[in-house]
Amino acid sequence: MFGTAARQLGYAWSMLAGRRFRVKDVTALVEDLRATLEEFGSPGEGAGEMLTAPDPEMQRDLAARRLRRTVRLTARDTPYYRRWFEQHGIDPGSITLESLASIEPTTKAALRDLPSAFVADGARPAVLAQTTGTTGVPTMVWFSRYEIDLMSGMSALALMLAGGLRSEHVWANCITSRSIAQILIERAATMTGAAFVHVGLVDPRATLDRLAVPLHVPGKRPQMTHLNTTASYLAALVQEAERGGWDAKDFGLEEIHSGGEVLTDALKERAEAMFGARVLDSYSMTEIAPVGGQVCGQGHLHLPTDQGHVEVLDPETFQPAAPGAHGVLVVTPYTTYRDTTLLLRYVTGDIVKVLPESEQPACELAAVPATSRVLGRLSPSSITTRDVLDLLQAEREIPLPTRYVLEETRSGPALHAVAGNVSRALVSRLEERAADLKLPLQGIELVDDPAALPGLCRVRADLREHTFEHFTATESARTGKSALRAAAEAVAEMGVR
Amino acid sequence: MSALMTEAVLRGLVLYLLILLTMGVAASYFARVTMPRPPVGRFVWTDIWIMVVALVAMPFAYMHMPIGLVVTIFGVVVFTVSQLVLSPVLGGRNAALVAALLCAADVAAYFAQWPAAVLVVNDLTMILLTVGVANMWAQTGMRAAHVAGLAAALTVYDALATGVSSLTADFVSRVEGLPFAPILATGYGPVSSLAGLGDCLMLAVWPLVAAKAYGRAAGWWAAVVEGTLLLGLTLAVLLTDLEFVPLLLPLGPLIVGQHLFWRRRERARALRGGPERVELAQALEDLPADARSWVALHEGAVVATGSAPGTARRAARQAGVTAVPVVRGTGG
Repeated sequence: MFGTAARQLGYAWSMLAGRRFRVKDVTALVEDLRATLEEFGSPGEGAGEMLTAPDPEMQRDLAARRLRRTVRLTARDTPYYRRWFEQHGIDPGSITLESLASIEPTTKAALRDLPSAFVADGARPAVLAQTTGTTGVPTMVWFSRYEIDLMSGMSALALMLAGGLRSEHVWANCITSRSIAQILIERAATMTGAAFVHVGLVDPRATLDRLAVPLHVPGKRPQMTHLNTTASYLAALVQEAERGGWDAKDFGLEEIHSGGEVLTDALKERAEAMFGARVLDSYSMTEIAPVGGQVCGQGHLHLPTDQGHVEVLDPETFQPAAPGAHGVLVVTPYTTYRDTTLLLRYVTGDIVKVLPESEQPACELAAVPATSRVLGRLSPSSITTRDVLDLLQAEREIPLPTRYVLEETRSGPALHAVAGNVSRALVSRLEERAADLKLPLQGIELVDDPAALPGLCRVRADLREHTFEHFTATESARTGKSALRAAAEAVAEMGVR
Repeated sequence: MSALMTEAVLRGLVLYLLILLTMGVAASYFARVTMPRPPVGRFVWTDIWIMVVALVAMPFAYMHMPIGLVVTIFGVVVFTVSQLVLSPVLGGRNAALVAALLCAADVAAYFAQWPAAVLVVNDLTMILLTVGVANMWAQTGMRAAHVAGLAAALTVYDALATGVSSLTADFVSRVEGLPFAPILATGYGPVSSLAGLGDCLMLAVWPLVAAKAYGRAAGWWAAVVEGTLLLGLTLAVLLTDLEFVPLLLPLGPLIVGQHLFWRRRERARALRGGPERVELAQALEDLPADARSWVALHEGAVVATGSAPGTARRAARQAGVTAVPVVRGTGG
């Protein structure tokens, strides 16, 4: 108790001062929290305040100080920003929350072209993480051991305090092994005392089998309880589970964490029905870690301001987006958490909508600033990824994961999508729904083969890893009476009671 | 029997009953009231060592401090703990008010030179303090091993401070009759009959922690053992000319002994394994090899097969098995 109190004081001091954390204090605090939860089942009163300062006034003051410090250190220590500030004759020390807009936003291309120019002079790079690169070449982002240890520790605190992760849980990860999230989640989950399984992005049939397999190890639930994956791979799992005759009772899942891609309500509901688990939608990105967001029950994306400064800017002008308008998330991660790849006003490319003044959140996360959910990318005709996925995923005849290409023609955007069975009736239903949704589509064409699409449609579920397991087409469908008969015959043959 | 002897017997028996009452109130409070606890943290060994060092060092420090300072320190502790122990029952504001009144009454009785009132009010504060601290320890995760460790350390300390040296006697003679004196007493001076706060705490906390760690039976056994020991010691003091008895000298080993006994029982029970582990052991029985075949077993019987572990589990569910079966390969 005495030691924990001392560590909490140190942690609170780092939070308030905006200076570097003592990683060993954070790690010890995680251990203390884990022990507390194992002893009492829940933390004591006020534990939530460990994650964020409760007072909005204090939050604003902290954010201003952290931002000033971040700008000063980033301009001093990184070749890219040092040059930029020199060229533009701006004194980094003069930058405040109000004058931040005078710094030019940093594009993904700038970081991708020369990642080392964003690495601080005194950094001690330890891990090179990569983005998935669905839009082309992956972006490389260096992280130090301090960052990895700190972010793992803070993720572990959040998983226990906000996520309800406990030591009896078993966490399965189905995301690309190259992302920083893979490293952080593996460390964070095990720090909470939960077990971790890296299932990987393997054949969905293999993943379903892993999720169903009984574990029977001491102190853990009999099956995997948490699944962390991307929306497109979740879609692939749902599709395969429905096709293969799986049932929610076959799994022990309690929570499915989806991130990295647009998760539609239709897919969320289908996944919840299929797996009997709550599906949570979150937002994160390798480049801006540890900045991330959580989607609340009312469908807003809440982005805490403790770990980075978040702006929503017009994607063309980079001026603040107006209420109700589309905007791109632009993030400055604070140097309290980052000391290697330093970024100022990083343009994530992820489009959201600024909440209209009439739609202020009244949810459980109301104190945390919010936008709409991530809408994906924005087409020249102002159609977002979410618009298209909402349209297509409401239709069960469209196979998951959804594959489409939005083609800009002279007359307007045309939607090409992959459908299992191309039929006129299906096209008509989609056209009707598109009209209801006021999507300015000039035509919908369905194809039965992804190769027939007029362009590439990459989703994270395509980042497939291989296993040596052998799945035949009939295997996953071997269910029902025939399976029972086969089982009974096998049992009889074996002569086992 | 002389009048002095009769009074001593009476005071001794009342003290015995007061200690039993304190233990009972502590147990009742433990069963009914949840004390506020810090957001993160539970009792660990470091806390025990800090407490041992503090408990050993404090009497020496108190002997050399101005008495006003000693009373002030005790007063702050009494107020804080009383407020803490009463707040879940009365609410924060009322608890603070009652705690303040209690402290004020103790001080007022002292300055009014009403020794009987000081005795009564002080006993009340000591009971509250014992109930509060014992519950705080037990409810913040103090384990049976911690109590045993503390008891072992205090046994040595008590043997030296009370049995061998005059430290305890000197300390008691310095503080008895003062407000917030850390002793539960039914008389001061020549007919004094008292128990130290440390003794009361160990007596109160062990049944709580034993019950939490090893079940109600262990808690009741702890209370019965302590009650019997106390009665024996009370009679010994009354029938002999013993002045100060180091209570922890017999109590400490008794706590350690009970802890070792119950721990051994728990371990033996754990070794026998839960139903899941038993089922795993049954699943190790030989099965005929079958190429690429997995079987699901429930209650020792094969209930389904599959070409992969998950599909075998699914087939078991389809066969009507609601529990999660054990799935194993057949070595094919």
